[in-house]
Order: sequence, then structure tokens, then C-alpha cells
Amino acid sequence: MVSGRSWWQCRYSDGRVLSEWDTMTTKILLPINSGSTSRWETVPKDHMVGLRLLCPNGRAGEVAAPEGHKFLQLKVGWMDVGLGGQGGRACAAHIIGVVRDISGHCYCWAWDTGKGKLIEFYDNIYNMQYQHIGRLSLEVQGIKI
Amino acid sequence: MEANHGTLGAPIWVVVGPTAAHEVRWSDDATQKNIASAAWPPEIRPAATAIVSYTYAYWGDATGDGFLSNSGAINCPAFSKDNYFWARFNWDNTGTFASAPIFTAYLSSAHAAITRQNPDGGLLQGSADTKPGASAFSYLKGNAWGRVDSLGAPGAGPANAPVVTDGTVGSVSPAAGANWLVNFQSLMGDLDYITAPFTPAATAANTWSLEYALFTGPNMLPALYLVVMTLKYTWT
Repeated sequence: MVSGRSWWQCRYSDGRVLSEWDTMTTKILLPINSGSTSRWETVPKDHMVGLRLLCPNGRAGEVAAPEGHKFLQLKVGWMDVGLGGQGGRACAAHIIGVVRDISGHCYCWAWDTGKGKLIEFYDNIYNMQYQHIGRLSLEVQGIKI
Repeated sequence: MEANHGTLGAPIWVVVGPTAAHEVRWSDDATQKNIASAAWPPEIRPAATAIVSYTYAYWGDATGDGFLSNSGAINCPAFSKDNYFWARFNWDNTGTFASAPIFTAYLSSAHAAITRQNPDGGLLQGSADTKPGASAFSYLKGNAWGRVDSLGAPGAGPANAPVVTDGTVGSVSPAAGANWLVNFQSLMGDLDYITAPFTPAATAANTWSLEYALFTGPNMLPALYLVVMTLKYTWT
């Protein structure tokens, strides 16, 4: 992808497909990395049955569920303040997943920006071990269990 | 992150990062205002553990003054836990957090994993100086407020002043609400850190109050330390 970054793309039971670049807060809705944050929290979750992670190396991860409100999507990163060193911001990973049971276990894919690699893992939304993220906000994710 | 270089009664917040050339520096001298980084004075390793008393906010290579220094009108005051308007993370209204943010520190902006006490005496890795029990902690300690400041900023400092052996393995969180951590936490990458007891509200600008303090001691490795203090966070 020309943007050099990963993007999410979800699909619905009626065949509709919604891509992350359609939800950017900037006016140019193309996958060209010109922009601002997307609005996952406002994306309709009813009847969502699949979520993909489109990666800059051409690979993709996908999760699926028979009903909506089971999917998660987020990025994790750092904001650094230099103590004599170099400050800055960076994205560590872009994560998608699907909740598998009422205990919060989830199946996930992540694009690791540092390694330039798509990885697959299992975790739990109540205490995500990946990148030490901790508990996800279910309200933000629109997850219903 | 913003630091208060005004006073406790009239804070003046100045950005100390992540903007280029903005940073936090420490010294054992109270008069290091507007000093170019190349001329920053070294500190002699002490015979006993001690806090590095003077913390400076810099927003240019040779432009900066002490925290709580009344915009540089007075020499940098020594660290006090009672300076509750010390520093704060700030964010705008353009994004949405997906989980509670984390306050920690890394050896560099590469955010490599840290091994406790390896090398022995590293600023974040710790040493016998920072080892109250089985685990050595970072020489850099942090504390954080239990809610975003729009719900009520601090009106007093934490209960306990930081000490060189402060630390808890893993994550600690202040009790949600008008609370600091009772004791300061070691800031050591993904090993020891502070997790906010809240996920900030979506698309809302806010701030999160912090204090931090640096210690040194006879077992600290002499070096030029160029570490980073970090807000680790998620967004949608």
C-alpha cells in the first residue's frame, strides 16, 4: 500500500464493506496516510461479521463472527518526552480481534510496525498482555458480551 | 507533556515534549537556567544515595528554567512532593483512547525491553542502591493522579515523598478519583509502570497530573543518560 501503514476493513452480513479510510476525519478519503484519526467508535457494529487488517507488505489478517459487537480494533503507541534524549511519537502496532467467549478471550492479528510483520495471537480483552495494554474500553470498542 | 515553570499558585505550563528540542533535565545545581545542552554540568557520583534535587524544563537547546521557578525569576527550587502542579500529560480532542494510558520510561525512543539490573547501575535498570528486596528498581520514580484534571486537579501532593527504593514490580494505579499513588513507582519500561485508573473520554481534550523524581547513588553507572519518559497509549 502506498501509505506505508496498515488499515482496517470490515464487512457486514448484507455484503457491505467499510474501510478505515472512509472514516477518516480529513476530507480526502483515500488510503494515502494524509490524515487524522479514524472513528472506530462510531462505526456501526450491528451485523458486522468480519474484520480485516490490510498490511503494507501485502498480507492481511482476518477475524470473523456470526454476529456484530464482537470485534475490536485499536492502535498502540508511545509519546516520548526526552530526558536529554529524543522525544517523539510512534505507533507500535495496529491490532484487530474478535471476542470468542464471555470470559473475554479473543483472537487477534497485529501489524507490528517495528518488525514490519503481521502476527497472530490469543489474548483477553479484560487484561490484554500484548504490549501490556491492559483492559480495553468495551464502550469504545462497541463490544457486547 | 507540560511542566510548570511558574508557581504553585499561578502555574505556567510549558511543553517539554515530544516537540523537538524540548526536554526535561536534572542537575544538582540550582542555577542551570538557559544553559546549552553541550555545557550541561556533570554531577559527581555521590557516596550515598540522594535525590537529584533540581529539575529543569527546556524548550530550546539553551532556553529553559527550573520547574516551579516563577519563570526563571528564582533559582530552581529543590524537588518537593508538595509541588502538586509539577507536570501533566495533555492531549487534544481529535482522538479516542481505547484503554487506560500508561506512564513509564524507556532507555530510548526504540522502546527496547529492559532487563532489571543489567547493566547493574543503569539509570532505569537499577542497582543495589534501588533494591529493597528481591528486585532492583529504577532510579527514576513517578506518581500520577487518579483522574483527569477536568474532573478536579490535585490540591495537595502525594502522601509520601519518593525514596530511592520505591517501586512495585509490574503495574500500579492510583485509586480512581482524587488520589495520588501513596508511594512513588519505579519507571522501568514494561517491567514497572503506572496505569491510569481510567480510560479518558472520547474526543475530549484533557490533562493528567504527574510528579517525578530522579535519584542517584554510589552504585549508579557513570554515563550520559539520554532516556525518555513515555505515555504509552492506545487509540482507535
